[in-house]
Amino acid sequence: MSESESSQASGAPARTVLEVDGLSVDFGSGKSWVRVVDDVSFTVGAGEIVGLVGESGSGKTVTCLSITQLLPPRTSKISGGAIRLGGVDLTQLGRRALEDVRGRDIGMIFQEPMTSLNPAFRVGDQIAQVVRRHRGVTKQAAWNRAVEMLDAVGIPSPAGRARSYPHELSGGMRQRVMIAMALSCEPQLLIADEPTTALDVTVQAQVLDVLRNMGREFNTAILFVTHDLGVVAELCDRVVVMYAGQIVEQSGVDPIFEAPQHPYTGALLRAMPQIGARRGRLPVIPGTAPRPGLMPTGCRFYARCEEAEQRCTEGPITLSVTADGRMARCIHVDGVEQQDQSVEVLVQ
Amino acid sequence: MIRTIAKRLLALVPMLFVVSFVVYSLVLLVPGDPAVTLAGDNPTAEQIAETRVRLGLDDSILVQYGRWVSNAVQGDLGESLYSTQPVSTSVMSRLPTTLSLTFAAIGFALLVAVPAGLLAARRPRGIVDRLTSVGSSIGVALPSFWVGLVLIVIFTIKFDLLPPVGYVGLSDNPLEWLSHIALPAVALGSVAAAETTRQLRGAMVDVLKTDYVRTATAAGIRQRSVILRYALKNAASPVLTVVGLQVTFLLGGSAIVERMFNIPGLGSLAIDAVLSRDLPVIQGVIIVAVIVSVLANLLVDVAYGMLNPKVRV
Amino acid sequence: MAVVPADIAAQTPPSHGGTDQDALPDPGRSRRIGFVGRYCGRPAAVVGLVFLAIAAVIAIFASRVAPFDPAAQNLRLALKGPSGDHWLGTDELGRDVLSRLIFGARVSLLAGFEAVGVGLLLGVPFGLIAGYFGRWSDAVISRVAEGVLSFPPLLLAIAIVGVLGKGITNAMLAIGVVFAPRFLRLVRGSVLAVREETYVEAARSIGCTHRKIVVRHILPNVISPLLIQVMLTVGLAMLSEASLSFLGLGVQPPDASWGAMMGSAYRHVSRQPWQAVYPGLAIVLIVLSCNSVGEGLRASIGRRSERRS
Repeated sequence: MSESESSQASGAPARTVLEVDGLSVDFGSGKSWVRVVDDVSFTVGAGEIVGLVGESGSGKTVTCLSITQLLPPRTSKISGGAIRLGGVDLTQLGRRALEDVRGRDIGMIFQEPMTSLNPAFRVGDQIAQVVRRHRGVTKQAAWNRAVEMLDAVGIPSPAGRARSYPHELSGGMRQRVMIAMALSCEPQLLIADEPTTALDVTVQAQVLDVLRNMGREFNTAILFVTHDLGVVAELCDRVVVMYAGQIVEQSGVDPIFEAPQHPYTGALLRAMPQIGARRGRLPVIPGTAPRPGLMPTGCRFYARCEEAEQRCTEGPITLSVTADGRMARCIHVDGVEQQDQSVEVLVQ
Repeated sequence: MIRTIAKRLLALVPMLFVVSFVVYSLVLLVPGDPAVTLAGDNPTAEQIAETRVRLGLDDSILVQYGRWVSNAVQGDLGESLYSTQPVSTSVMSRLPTTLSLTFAAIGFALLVAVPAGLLAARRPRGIVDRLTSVGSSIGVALPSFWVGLVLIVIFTIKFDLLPPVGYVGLSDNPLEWLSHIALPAVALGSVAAAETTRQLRGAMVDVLKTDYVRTATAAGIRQRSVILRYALKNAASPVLTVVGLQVTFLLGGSAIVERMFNIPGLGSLAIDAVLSRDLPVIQGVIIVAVIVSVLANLLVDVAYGMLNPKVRV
Repeated sequence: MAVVPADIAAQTPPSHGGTDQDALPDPGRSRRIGFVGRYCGRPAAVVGLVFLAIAAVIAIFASRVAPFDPAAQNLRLALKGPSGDHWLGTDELGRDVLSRLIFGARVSLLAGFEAVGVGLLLGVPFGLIAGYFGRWSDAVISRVAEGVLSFPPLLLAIAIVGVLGKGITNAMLAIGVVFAPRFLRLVRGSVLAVREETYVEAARSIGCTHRKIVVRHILPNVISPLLIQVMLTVGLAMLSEASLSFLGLGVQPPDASWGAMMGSAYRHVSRQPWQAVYPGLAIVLIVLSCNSVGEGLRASIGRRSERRS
């Protein structure tokens, strides 16, 4: 368990907004619990977009939901680590204090635009409610703010659209509404959990544009969860790759596409369809990830790894930090130090 | 909205035809010669002949039905075989009483069901939920006359808190009305309360699992208003349908409670009519009760449309 | 409040040996235990079944179990409290309450199943016809069912009894008619769902008669939902019988029925309030048992979508 007091490396681009530090999450009930997120640490700075990448079941969504503590209270628990937002540990806050942080300091967007908005209320009202909740302004002011936000996310004739019910809007429009709602109180951090997965490709590009522009405008820290490396390349500054509940690689976005450190990242990249590539079968990663509770002691990617060898299974693999400040959890990576024992987290 | 209601009202016409025919053809079920059976105990030949003429039993059933319907749509439901009072008069004079009892019972049911359902749904399988579930299982099995009897024993015999029987109109004296209607309403509404609690709990549990509730929670909306404002509006529509069905049930169940508490409503009129085989009165009571229940359910549908923007045309 | 995202649901392991089985809520788990196991996993359903069985045995052997003749009067002992001879006391005519309660079980059970039998006899064939042949037969039958459903049930039963004459048989006939649309709708719905299935199409294409198709292919699919509905309706039917008997429209004196006993208890409530306790309790328990057996069946048979909570 990392006890590191993060001090942002000097020359870092921006003030740290979110610091996830040694986060572990367990699922289960009673006496039997299974670890689904294991010792995860990363930071997101103001104005920075960090991609959290992994296949479904890798723990990326659980990580996100535990930041705002939206996990089911009785069947899940944060069993270790801290989640600091502007220095305040969110895991120590009570329910009412958390309710103040949600929406005001952290905005969230989810994957399912079709079901994420309340069908019984006008979209303008849904945004205005959030504004009123956190800013305590009049109904009219909140409504005006809602219309303004709808305009900002590129919804045509926003005053009219604010009066629509969700079922009257397309998927892309609804996701814009979600973005407008999430950013309506200008939060320091925006968590977007696969916000474009359910959308058409063209709509996806538009929504990503909106996210990027809005993030820039408000200098928001954005944690962007996805399994789509194409989106990461287009949008993110930095990437955190998760596999089977652990971070396996962390790096700036360009180096990871040029030279992935972890074999899993490499396999993911090869599995990406490329425009102009010769026709043929896309390489897939054989096998499936180990299930929570049945994790091997050694490398969790061992069974699917092309570079696997005997010593990979001998003990837990640590997250090594390379000379250029990247991190990878692989025995073949020459680390200058091992993050799990380090006091300093070097980024970029 | 008005068009929808008009459409629905129009759709009721064929249904009411079926219902009225069923009601009228009750006369066919009378064992033996209806004129003999309905003329009373040990009728004379004259009484039988008179009954035959008054009910028009010599015509074919379709002619009889046609005559009855055409009179009924003009508000004439015939005359009682005994009091010779117009059926419509006695039915209409008792309808408000039964309506006030039915709606008091629904009111009681909601008063219990809304808090209980919400509390239970807050923590599915928690202690409150389990207690509520046991309570509502027992509640739906409770006969209204038993609840009524227990209430009478406790509130009137043991403690002498409320008047045991009788009725005072709501418009005459609201406070007296409440004191007279309270026990009957609880007795009548206990099953509805249990049923509605169950439905609301189920609907709330489902709604609280939805993505849009997560969205509201993630936006920092207070838990209380997530439940009361965001979720309840969505959970209310399935519950409303159940409440509509309950109105139909309660209109029938009121017969027992009215009898027990000596309330002069439609139900006790029906029972008196049944005991004396006063066929026109039985038919009149039933057709009016059906119309009321159909209209109540129409009202429910309108409210359903208001809660559900998707349904609105 | 919080929600399990699809991501987490996907982590739930498929059926497989290992300790993780107990760790995560596994919806597929109950499927492997089988019907009896699932049913026995619901204590309320088991208790309900046991209670129904006991009630049935008592009802069948009522004349041997009952300590007294339920109709034997003894006016000197009228409205007495519990004693060594009369464990539950006596009613206003000095009749033994326990014996009347025991004989009342017979009436209640019989009444419940009679009414449901009438309902099934009316509902199932017409439901099959409406669902299988559709078109105008469906239109007519469904309209009539809808019409009957719009009647306040108890009021319709009261009216039918009023016309046919008082008595338990007529009362049960009336209640059966009132409940028929429930079965009709259920059967019609199930038939509609099954009718377009490939195997029914196949049976039709190889020239099976309608009768054969209905009996061999459609009825078996209707039976389990029907069984659940029967149990739930039996409870309601017994409640209705009690209501009618309470009003004096069902069982006629001197026969004992729980509803009729409640009726007489009500008339003497100011002198002996405890009289109403036993028949009331008996009604509540038997209805509760029927309902919990029905719920238990619903939870243990049929498709997963039909199982709730």
